[in-house]
Amino acid sequence: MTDVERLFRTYNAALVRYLTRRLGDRDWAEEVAQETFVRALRQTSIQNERAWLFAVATNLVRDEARKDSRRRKHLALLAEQERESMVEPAETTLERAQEAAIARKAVDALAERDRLALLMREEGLDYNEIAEALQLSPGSVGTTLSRARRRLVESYEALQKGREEREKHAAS
Amino acid sequence: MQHLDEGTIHAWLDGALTPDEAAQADAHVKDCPQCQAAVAEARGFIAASSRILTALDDAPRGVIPVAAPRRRVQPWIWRVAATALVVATGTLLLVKQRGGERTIASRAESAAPAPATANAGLPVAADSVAAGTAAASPVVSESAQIRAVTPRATGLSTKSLPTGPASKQGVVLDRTELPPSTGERRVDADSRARMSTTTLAPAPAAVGGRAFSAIPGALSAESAPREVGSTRSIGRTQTFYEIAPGDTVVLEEQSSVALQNVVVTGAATARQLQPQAQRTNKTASAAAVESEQKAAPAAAPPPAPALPSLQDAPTAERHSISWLDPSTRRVVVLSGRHSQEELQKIREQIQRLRDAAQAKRNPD
Repeated sequence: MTDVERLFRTYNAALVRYLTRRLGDRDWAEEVAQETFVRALRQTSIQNERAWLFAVATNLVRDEARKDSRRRKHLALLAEQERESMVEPAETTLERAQEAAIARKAVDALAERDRLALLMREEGLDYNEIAEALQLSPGSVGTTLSRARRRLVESYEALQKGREEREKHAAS
Repeated sequence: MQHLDEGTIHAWLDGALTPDEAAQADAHVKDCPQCQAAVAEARGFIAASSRILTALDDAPRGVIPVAAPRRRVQPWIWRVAATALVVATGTLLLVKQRGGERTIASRAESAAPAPATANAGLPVAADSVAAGTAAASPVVSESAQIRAVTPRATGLSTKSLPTGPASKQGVVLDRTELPPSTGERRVDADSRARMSTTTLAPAPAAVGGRAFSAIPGALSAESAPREVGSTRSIGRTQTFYEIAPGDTVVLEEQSSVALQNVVVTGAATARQLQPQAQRTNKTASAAAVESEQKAAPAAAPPPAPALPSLQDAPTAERHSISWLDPSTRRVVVLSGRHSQEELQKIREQIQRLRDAAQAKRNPD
């Protein structure tokens, strides 16, 4: 097994989940993850693999906005080809869709760096890896994460409350 | 020792402190009710934020702009898979039922319309072949039905199920591993019948997952949303509108009726979600009270100036707005790479588009 194959097997699932949570679209997430591994292929040596992969994926997301749509369509086609043999997950219920929509809003409300640190932590990156990937000082990661978690939960609760009130209003 | 700041508490709970620091924190928290409360609160935030992030894992596919949106396929997969299962079970029953009289050659026939050469090398009596073929005919016609259904269902025109090769393999086995006694042969054939069941089943999924042909959209005025396709599945309809080339928004209509109809699934999910939600509510309200009590919270150091690389991605941000359509009583979600204000405008444009289409359909 080549080194990139090993990297892919070890980190692809976590990277795709991280990117899906960041981008809100699994297709897009898979493309960015693939591109990240392609970049890894060109590297002669990577010191901290996980931090490197997450940093590159994060930068790719940022660059994505500047890419032209033709390139994106091409990648979408590639992703589609790869997905041909896969079966879609079960239908989501309305309840879950609403939960997801609120979660998305709450995550989108975070500052970019807080959001990325939190999503990386959820994929098991330690404080040093997060600091390396986001070019933070290791000492500030705890503060970043505590702020991100508090804000995420608070805005989620606020959105949830707003929804319940709207529903109550609509029902009466 | 002074109280632990929130960042240190999170670092401690995340196992990111050095052993010395962790021991200090531990010693302090033991004797400090205020920090105990802060630690409990932090635990609540960690657990709740993990749970919130998990909700994002059901992200939709295909929101990125592509020329033609893909149709969801799973209803057909299940239908085709079910048909395959029925056929396979039928075959198995037939083989079992007739196992006493039949020979291997006839079973090979029943599995699929095998080439004539398959029988050539087999030492079988002519009448048993005839009987086998007669018995096999309903099965064969059923699998032919699958082939007829599959292309229609998935939009493919030529791809057929790989039943042929799988069964042929069975025939080859017949030739090479022909057992000496009929008793053993029967067992062999039964296990092969099961084998063909397993080879049949995954086939529709592989076929069903294939790409679909493009849906060409009509040209229209610039900057106005243009409908480029829609997908329909249980409980929701997604319509894709192209705002500009490479810029697509998704209008998702969720029918509340469908939710009531799928009480089983809904209830199961609700059961899973409710206790957690209540717990989170408690945590958050407790957190709110505590944070008010903590009149002088340990000042968190101001964040280091953000790197430019992490700031400038405004155009990549996806937003969504949702509302309840009063006429259809449906929840509608519009999402795309636009600000919420822009989405509101797009929503109005789409509404006009739809009203116009509606007016065209009902001129009075």
